Amino acid sequence: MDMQRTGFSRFALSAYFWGVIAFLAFPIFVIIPISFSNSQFLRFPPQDLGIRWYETYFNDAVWVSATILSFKVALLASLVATIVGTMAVISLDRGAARTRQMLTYLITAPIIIPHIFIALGVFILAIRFGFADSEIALAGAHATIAMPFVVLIVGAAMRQMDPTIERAARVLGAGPVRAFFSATFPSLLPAIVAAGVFAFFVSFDELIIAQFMLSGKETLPMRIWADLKLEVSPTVAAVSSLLIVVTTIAMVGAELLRRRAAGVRGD
Amino acid sequence: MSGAAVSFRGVSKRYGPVDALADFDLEVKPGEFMTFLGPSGSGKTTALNVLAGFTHATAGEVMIDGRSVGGLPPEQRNVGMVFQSYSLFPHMNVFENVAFPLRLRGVAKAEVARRVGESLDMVRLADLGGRMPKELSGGQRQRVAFARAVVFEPPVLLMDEPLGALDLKLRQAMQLEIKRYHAQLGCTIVFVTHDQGEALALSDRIAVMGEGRIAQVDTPDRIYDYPKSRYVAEFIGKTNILTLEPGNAGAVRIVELGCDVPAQGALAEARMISVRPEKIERAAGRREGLIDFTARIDEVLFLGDLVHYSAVLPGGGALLFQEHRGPGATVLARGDTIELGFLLSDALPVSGREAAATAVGA
Ligand SMILES: Nc1ncnc2c1ncn2[C@@H]1O[C@H](COP(=O)(O)OP(=O)(O)O)[C@@H](O)[C@H]1O
Ligand SMILES: [Mg+2]
Repeated sequence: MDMQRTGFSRFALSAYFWGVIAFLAFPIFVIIPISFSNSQFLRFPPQDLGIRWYETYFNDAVWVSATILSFKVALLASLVATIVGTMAVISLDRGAARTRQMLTYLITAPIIIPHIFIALGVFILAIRFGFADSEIALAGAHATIAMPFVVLIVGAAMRQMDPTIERAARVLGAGPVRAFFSATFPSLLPAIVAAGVFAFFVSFDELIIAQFMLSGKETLPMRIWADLKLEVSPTVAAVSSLLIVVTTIAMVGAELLRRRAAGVRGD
Repeated sequence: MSGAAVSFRGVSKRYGPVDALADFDLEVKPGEFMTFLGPSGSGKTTALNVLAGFTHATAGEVMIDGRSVGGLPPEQRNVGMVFQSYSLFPHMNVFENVAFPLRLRGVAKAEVARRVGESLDMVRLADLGGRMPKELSGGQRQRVAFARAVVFEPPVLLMDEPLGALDLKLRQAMQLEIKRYHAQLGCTIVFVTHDQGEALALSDRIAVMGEGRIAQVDTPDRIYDYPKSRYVAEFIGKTNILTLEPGNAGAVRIVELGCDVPAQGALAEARMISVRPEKIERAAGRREGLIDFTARIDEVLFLGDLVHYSAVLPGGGALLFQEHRGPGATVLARGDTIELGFLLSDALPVSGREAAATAVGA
């Protein structure tokens, strides 16, 4: 009786698990096959297989320039978020234990603020101070929403660090900066890189703020959005498939890097 | 390399309401092996950190080789330090770890190689220079940490529970190694441990610590034979604490044994005496001056050549004693009633809090 109940609940749990996974993955199983069709319209299942829409994407100046703009913005945003976030983690680590929790909440708050509010706020500021339609300002806004993730990822690595390693470097003769870079930084580096990759895609995927801030230019998500509204061309499916593949590879790479580093640290 | 003197002059460190160190005074002689011994939380690490420069004292002064170092950051104090967690740089191989302090001091390349080689030789790891720390065993990592701490020939070496993470057998082997390093290097060593056996085996002198204060500083044999307080007597080895009260004219009464002894010398003022388990023997021989009493064997811990007993006194208290098994000696059994005794000269007056329990330190 007991055994049966355990068996049933285990079955129910795993059915639920796979149900959720299928639900999350479902779009991928639709989008990727559709992208390899040569027909004029989005249609599932795809007929007439081919890579026509990938060719369209790579040969269309509008799509390419949107991609390049997104890339530039994401690069700048992730650079800023990674540097500022990492420095925040270091100062939290060195600061007084009493205020650490409070400051961590404050720094990671942008995670729970809806992007639309951030977008509105930045937009108002942009108009007031005359930097509307600036991709640098957009990168700054993206850095703000990406930084909490950097703080969380690098902060987790920092908490695993043995603080006596840096003390060892100090007592062996290294000044504070030298000790940080020779003892702590190498162990944090994998997490910093992983956080940078994550921050990059937070910016690369972001639509709402970009929509508010830019008028004369277009990022890739803006282009996809515009495309979907107007003509629903299968190019979107091709772009999405590419995005899925690139994102997956980068994220898995970053995660592996982070894990391997964690393995090195643990003794 | 030779050692430098280290002095703590009235050093205090407060963390909020906690006195991690209170009025800490200690003079360590050049080349001495000084151990801070105390339970967890007694301020040993704090004292070491103040000396290394990781913690600023709330009051007082720390001196190395006669110079106050209070204003110097750790990197300018020129002391070596070994941590319990080894604290090797995980991304550097053994050679680079040991070379680190030399490179910081701008030592020429050939000289670096020579001195790293010498240090690794001393810890018997000459072949492992190319290994990464994660490819080493715990004992090997500790040796590398040691080589790294002494390669730049610091006059003072600090060790914070360096053997705490090793298993018993390895710990004992490493104790011998550390003794050898000390003899070879001649530097002053300030060693921290909560293991009294380790402290007794290694040290020239031991500072027994409790609640941020020094309870007693002395050589291992004097700490063991002449503990000044109940706290020290109980922390170092096992002992029996017996209570005294005024007895008949010219005598004091040992409460737990219910017998009077002459109130000579220090005994007249003392309120407690400490008697080590090995100082108590069977009283059958009626040795001259033996204070004897009857007890019933309660527990027997048989160790082969050595037997530990716990006996119940007529008054209800417990007493620890032990016997080496000499020729013809029998082993007592639980429930046996036996005459025991000790010499008054082996009973040491101690100060400190009194407590209901008689046998302690188990
Ligand atoms: N950074 C700190 N903040 C607050 N209290 C501390 C800190 N470091 C040590 N203490 C306190 O000081 C006392 C002594 O600690 P410590 O020197 O680490 O003892 P030990 O090394 O003998 O175990 C303990 O009560 C400990 O809780
Ligand atoms: Mg400690």
